[in-house]
Amino acid sequence: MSSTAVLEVSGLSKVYGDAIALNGASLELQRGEIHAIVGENGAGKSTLVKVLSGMVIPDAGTVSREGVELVFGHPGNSRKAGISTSFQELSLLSNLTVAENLLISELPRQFGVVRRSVVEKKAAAILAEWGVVDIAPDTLVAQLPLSAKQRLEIVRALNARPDILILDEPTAALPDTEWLFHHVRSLRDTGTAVLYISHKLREIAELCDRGTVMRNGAIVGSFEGSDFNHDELISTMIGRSINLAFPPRVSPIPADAPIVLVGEELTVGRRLTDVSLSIRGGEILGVAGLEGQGQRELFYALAGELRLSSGTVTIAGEPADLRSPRTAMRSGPGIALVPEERKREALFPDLPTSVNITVPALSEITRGGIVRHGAEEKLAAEAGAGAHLPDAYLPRIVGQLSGGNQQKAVLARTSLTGAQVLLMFDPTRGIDPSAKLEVYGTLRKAAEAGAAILLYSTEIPELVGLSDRVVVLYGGQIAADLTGDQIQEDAIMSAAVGHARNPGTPNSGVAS
Amino acid sequence: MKGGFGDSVRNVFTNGASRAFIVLIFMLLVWAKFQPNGLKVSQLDSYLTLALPLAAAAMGVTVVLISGEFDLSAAGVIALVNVLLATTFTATNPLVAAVAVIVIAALIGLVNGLFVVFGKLPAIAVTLATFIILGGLAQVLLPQPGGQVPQGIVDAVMTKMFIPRALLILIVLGIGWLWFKRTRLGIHMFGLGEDEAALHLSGVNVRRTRLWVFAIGGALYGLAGVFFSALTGSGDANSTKTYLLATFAAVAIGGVSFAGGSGSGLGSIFGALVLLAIPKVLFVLKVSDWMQMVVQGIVIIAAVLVGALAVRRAQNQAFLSLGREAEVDSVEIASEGKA
Amino acid sequence: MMSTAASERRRPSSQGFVRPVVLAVLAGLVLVGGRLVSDSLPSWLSVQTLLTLSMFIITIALGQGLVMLIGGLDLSVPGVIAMSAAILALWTSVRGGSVIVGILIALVMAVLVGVVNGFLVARFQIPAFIITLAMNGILVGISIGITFGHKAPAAPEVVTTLFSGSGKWFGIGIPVFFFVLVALVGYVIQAKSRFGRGAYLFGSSNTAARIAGLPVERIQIGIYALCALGSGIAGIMLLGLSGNAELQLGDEWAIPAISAVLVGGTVIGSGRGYWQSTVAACLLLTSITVVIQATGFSQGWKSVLYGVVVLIALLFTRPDTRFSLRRKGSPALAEGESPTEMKGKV
Repeated sequence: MSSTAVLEVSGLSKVYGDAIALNGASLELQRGEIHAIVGENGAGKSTLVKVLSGMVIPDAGTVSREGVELVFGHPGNSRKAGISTSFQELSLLSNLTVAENLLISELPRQFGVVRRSVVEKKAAAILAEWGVVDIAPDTLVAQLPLSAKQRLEIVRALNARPDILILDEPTAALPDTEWLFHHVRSLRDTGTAVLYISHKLREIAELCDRGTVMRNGAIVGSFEGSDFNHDELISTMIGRSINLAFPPRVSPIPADAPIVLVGEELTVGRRLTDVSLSIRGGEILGVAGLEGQGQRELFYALAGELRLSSGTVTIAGEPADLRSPRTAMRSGPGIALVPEERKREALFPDLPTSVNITVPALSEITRGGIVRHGAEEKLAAEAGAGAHLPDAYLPRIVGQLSGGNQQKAVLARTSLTGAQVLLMFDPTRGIDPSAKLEVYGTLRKAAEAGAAILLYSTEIPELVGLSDRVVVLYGGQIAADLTGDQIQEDAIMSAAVGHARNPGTPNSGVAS
Repeated sequence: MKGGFGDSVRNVFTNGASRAFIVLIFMLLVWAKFQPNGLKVSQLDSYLTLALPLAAAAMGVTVVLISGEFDLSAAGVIALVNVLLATTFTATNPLVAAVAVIVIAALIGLVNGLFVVFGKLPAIAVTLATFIILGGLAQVLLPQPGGQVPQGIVDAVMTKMFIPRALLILIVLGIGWLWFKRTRLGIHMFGLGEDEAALHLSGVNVRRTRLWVFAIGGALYGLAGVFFSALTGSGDANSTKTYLLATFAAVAIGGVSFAGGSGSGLGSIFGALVLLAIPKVLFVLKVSDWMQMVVQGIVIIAAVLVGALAVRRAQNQAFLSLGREAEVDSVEIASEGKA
Repeated sequence: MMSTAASERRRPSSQGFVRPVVLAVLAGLVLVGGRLVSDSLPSWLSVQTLLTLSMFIITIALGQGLVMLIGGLDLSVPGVIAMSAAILALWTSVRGGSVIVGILIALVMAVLVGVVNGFLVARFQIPAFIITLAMNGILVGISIGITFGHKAPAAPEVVTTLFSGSGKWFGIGIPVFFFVLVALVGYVIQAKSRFGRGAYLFGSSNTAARIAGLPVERIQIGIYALCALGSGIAGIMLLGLSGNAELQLGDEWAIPAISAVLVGGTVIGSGRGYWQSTVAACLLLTSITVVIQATGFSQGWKSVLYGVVVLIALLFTRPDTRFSLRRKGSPALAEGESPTEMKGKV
């Protein structure tokens, strides 16, 4: 424990069901330093931020502010301890103005009334002080572009002039980073300690004094800000998953395997721009990208859940009907989505697992309007077996299952849709290693059986181990298109963080 | 993002209060035009006076809805207040009586809030139960219609002036709303309905805000009860049943969002006026009695339909031009699916 | 890992049978305890009354419960009751038509109403609360309109015999048999049928239902149609009970039905709720009503007591919720927790 340490994090642990978010994370923050936190998605960065900001109560560990322990679980306590956070998922109120958002907890009033002009003047002063000139204080936050909202969120944190400033992916939507760096540096110079969470290594090199690498919820390394080797750092971030053997491809994709799905110049709002790709039967097309690079828009638009702003999608040669996931599933050979947020988008949490599984095949097990119990059990067991889900779990309420078993249930259900195109969005998120292996097996089997799989994963080794081709998304466009030997972890990661080293053809992942 | 004329027109339609206002003006004009021998001030006066309780109650429901919750107890509070004024407070100084019942009503609202915030019960269930209890209490206090509301209260509302008193009162209510939404509490209330979590993270005491909102809602129902008592002059525990649903009708016409985060007390006042103007208009148009209810229903549906479509269009525009907002659900335009 | 395995072992079926049994037993106890209040309790007559009254309530609660399961509330119940009673009464007593045809017309109209309700809610995502509220007004208006000039048309005899308690089979009032019938049919629909399955799935997660390819619009329309059908049937039954088609026929029954669903533990807008519990809760609340009735308390105190009972029942039947802040689009502030139900949006 050094004498200039302003924040001491010790042994923080947090588990969500079977997913380990934090695993004994410890670090020290010095006064007057800009300290980077890097790591892949799921490394624990967000959870760390949430614990420090008072949003999440850890299972174990302490956080001390110059010897005084921080009381967890309430934003007010963190604020009192001098911690101020700019969140990745913005904490702004869309139906209020910029000024109101900035001053929400300390709205100035005269005779009980918060006068617009007063608030706006104060807000304008704050904005001016921090060099933000293009946001009018009287604008409704809902009408601001994302970059403006981001700056607003940051200004709010900066303006608290905290002792400890936490910035969680502050430049995700920020075109002009100099502005941010300038102010972060000046705060640092007055003694503020800054925790800078980002995946943009170039920025970190430019801005940060020191850095810490997180992986699987723990601290696995540290580095000096200006002097680190990008490749080494990326390796540390990725790490090596122990004993994860990816089921090998049994037979190569036949040269004449038909192209099942073609997406041309797919655009969704501003998050996905002119992305084209195609997938053949039996092929696994991997998609890589850090959070928010357009992968969600891509997958959900293909699934019929989000509307395409422009672009065309054909399946088995015919235009795909993407009005809804239901029509997508019935469009030709069918498109099915394994969604991102298991709990919110895939599961029916209060219902038994077997019920969760048989959803797409209800017609088969219904006779006379009644769902035949025996037929349902049988079908669920069959599908479950295909996904390595033990029978014992079928009658249980699915919300009580471990993440791994839940995902197997989702995969079992997907197999019952009969869809040939499978859109798998981070299917191994939050599940234990042995379950992951089984999921890989299920994926591989599906591909062998002729499915055309689009696979997004935040774990690059998975993409390397499973994919036949990989496209990397960055900023809503394809930054790299890798095949065969080109599929390497560092190549993928580099492209994902914006160093497009592989001069693959941008904007098209179309197979030749 | 300020646009041209097209945008302005669209804004009017997205704004519930202006929509309701336009409909109201239209209806009043029709009424005036077809009223035999012209529309007299006295008729306008009685119409506006009749609208007072509904307008106040609608405002109460509005604040609770904006904060993201629900409140079914309005009619019960009105009944209890009416009965209290007619019996317990019948001989009290009118001003003291009025203040007392409003305070009591506010406390009832607070109790609702406590059940919701600390009891973690759904507001619909709690306020339904309190509605039943309050109705019962009112009947206990006054099993048969009767009693006498303090004359001072009746006079305060019913005295004839050169302009209808009710109009003045409505204007005061309107100004009251405009003031309230500029207070700290008012602004926090909007934030609460929009994103409770973000508000909490921003350092605002969410619990306290919510409790205050319920209390204010209660106070407004109390005020509605005072108006109601002034109108009837006596107590009747059973006569307020219609308010249960009429308040929500008024609120819907006024364009308040049932999801929270947006709405206007002014809109609800206009909504109440529109609702009560329907029978008048239909009467002068020689439409049979029973059609009134049908037309009322159609107007309500039309009002919320226009509102929903306008909001949807606005969301689409926002999505296309600004990039995806934080909320995924609002942007799932391709498919419906919400109850 | 250990704790997960243990929690995975908790049997789900217990949730479906413990509560209804407890509630039913409480209902019985209440009736027996009624002895303290009146010598006429408990008695077979009081049991019959209990079951008769419950018949009307569960007929409404069947559909209403499903509507609440998917996060809505159907306030057009009184209107549908009034309208279907009016149609039947008019058809038989004024137009001299046959009872069967009259019932058919009434129920078809009721279903139509439900379809319109469901369509507006599903297509435009307008809260069911307000749509059905408006629809209720429309229906009451229509009922007044069609019965214009005919003061409270009379019920056909068949219906009166069946539902007023005057008709008996084996010495037991016919409504008791209908109670059992509706309870069983309700069970089949909610727990066993594909239709009910759709409701539970959609209620459990709108999003998952949509992404899994379910016909979500059709499901919603079907549920509102069923609710209206139930109300229509209840209207015919109540017509039999009262003997005349009056506008206020349904007013007294909407709230008890909603209360039964809530006390039965259905969480609005979730996949959680059991028909057995609703029926048992109905028995409990009705038994309390019967006992309160026998006390001779004034009407006011009866209401107060009823409301307090509902509140207490709600507090005790609360599902285990953690304090979760609502964020538009995401269920709870602390991630990783099982999604607690969204605050009921109606």
